[in-house]
Amino acid sequence: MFIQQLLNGLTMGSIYALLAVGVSMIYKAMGMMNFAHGDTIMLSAFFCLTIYSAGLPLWAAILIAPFISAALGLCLERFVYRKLEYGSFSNLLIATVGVSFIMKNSAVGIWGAQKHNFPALFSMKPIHIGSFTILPQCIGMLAIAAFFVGVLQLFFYKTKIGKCMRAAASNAEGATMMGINVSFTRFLTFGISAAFAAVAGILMSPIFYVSTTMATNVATKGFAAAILGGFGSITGGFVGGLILGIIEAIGGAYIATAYKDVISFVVLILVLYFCPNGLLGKKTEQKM
Amino acid sequence: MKKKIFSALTLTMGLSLTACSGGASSAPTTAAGSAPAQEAAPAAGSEKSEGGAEAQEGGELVLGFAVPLTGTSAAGGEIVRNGVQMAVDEINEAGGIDGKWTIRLITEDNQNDPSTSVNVMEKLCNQDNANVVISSTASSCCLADMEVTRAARCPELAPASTAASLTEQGNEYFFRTAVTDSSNVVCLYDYFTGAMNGSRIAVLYESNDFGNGGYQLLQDYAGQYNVEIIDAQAYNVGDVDFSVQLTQFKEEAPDAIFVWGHYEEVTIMCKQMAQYEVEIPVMGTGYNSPYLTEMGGEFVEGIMLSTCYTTADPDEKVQAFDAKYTELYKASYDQNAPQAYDTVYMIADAVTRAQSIDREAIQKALTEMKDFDGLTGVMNFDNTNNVSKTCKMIKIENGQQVLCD
Repeated sequence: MFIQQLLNGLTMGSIYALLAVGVSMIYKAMGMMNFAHGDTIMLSAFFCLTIYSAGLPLWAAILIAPFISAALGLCLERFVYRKLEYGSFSNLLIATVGVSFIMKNSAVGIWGAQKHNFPALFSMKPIHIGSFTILPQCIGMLAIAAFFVGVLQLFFYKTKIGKCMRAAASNAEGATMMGINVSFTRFLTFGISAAFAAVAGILMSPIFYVSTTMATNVATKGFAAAILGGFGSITGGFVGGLILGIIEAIGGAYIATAYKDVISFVVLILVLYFCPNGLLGKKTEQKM
Repeated sequence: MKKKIFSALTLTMGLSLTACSGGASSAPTTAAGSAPAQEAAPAAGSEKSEGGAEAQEGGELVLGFAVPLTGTSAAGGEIVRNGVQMAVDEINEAGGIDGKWTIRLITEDNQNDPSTSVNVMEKLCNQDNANVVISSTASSCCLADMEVTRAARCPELAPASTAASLTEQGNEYFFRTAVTDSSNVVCLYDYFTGAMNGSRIAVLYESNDFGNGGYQLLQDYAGQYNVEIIDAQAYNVGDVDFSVQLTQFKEEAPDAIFVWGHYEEVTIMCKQMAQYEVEIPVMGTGYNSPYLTEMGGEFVEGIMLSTCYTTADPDEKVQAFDAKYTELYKASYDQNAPQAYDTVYMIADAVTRAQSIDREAIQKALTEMKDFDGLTGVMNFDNTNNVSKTCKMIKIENGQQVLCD
């Protein structure tokens, strides 16, 4: 029973992990919190569904949607966030909240408030291992999330452009003096993050249905997972997401399902109390 | 930096709270005196019956009707209005109530706003001298306007308001004709212990007033039906993962899972039941919607629910109503249309028995109503003027609703 509930937690855990990595990445690269990430996910799901409904095969829709989302992310960076000059943390924060409202309401205007069905991406047949049941969608999502996290990790630590992005994030002025085009790295980070949101959106759609509110609840959990794992750490976000999903499932099973959200946030607060930088976060010294 | 992140999180929480409270609008009840809503029917000042004390030889019954025709609930109000209008037209075409009293319907828009609904009710009771009123609104509006009808000693019938508090006010002039969850529980337990010969249930309910109330009623009635509730799990509106609850139910193997929820979550639940191979019958209430089959597809096959009205009912009255409504209004409707239609006929029944259109006489006759047979079941009022109806069990078969036998 315990193991089964643990396995159950992995599905939601993978979703939280995808969200946490998306917000962590933006934070890592430009030191801002993106509250519109959930809405980018929602819009990506609608893009994919719209392309699919227009008659294209599902695989084509899945391939095209991340590019549209990336374009959207690039536009947002170029025409909204860059205008705010990345100067003030709170200005940027409010800007993302504003963008979030605009995206949500535009989506209601275009697609309506109704939920839409989305074709299944994985087999519906459960896999039995001994007396335990695991769903193919759970394994698939976990594998896809792990794959993209690995790719991102390699990108940030092994490629030149990735290193530039990290340098720009840690000290924009210093990076500029070293000849790094800081605005370009920020521009690129937003694009990658939005494409990543599309991956999350497409994976979520068969489970959540596609609707304008599909990502509202989980977006908060994504932030919690990112903090749990250590904000700004990509592997931390991934691990934090999985742990959050498992805590929810176990807490729901042994305490009360109605309080599973409460349980996960209590655990988050406890972790931060003993481990203020999250589970995998590194302590960074602010030099004056 | 950590500090900033925390303040940011606090901010989002604050924002989401504001967004939540925006939904439940509770406009302050201002003093009466602002402009009343537009008048739908011309109120020509002919022989007013002044509460109808001496109108024994026939005449005109003034039926006041407060309904939201503008604002956020306009679509729901339209459905109720159509139901009322249909019944009034039918009765008048047939020569009036018992061939003696024609109905003059005065419709007022209360905008689904408690303060407006008070003003509207003042007008209907004290200027139009309605003999009886129908209030189709959110429960918060009924709660406000029922004070006006109580003071005027005018019977008020509510065909679409479900909050339990309405009939807990000790207001003997207020009658709820909307189906209550008690009627649904009785119907579900009757079928479960009878046709299905079951005894052990697990409950899965929405964690809010609707779900908690339903779960409470299931517990209240369990004893008399010898039903054992072996497990009960709540979920939050918007939840998409029911694997924890379903895994537990699978192990406990109840005879049925009773669900008190809406189609949004129920369709996801049914899909996951298929994925986790949970083969336990699902029955409950709240999820009767065309979207249930549209969203749930093959996964909601066999799911059962209790309702007071279904077009799957071959009953002549129901089929005639359905055909006529569709022909007249060319739109779909929910159970509130037949409930409103029944409410008008309930008034006609009370007037016929009382042989009077006096407010007090109608009130008394309504409390004495016995086994009124309408579109939405056989109805009686209990001692708090709450209607009880015989609900029907329906089942989804090939994407269609069919009556359970």
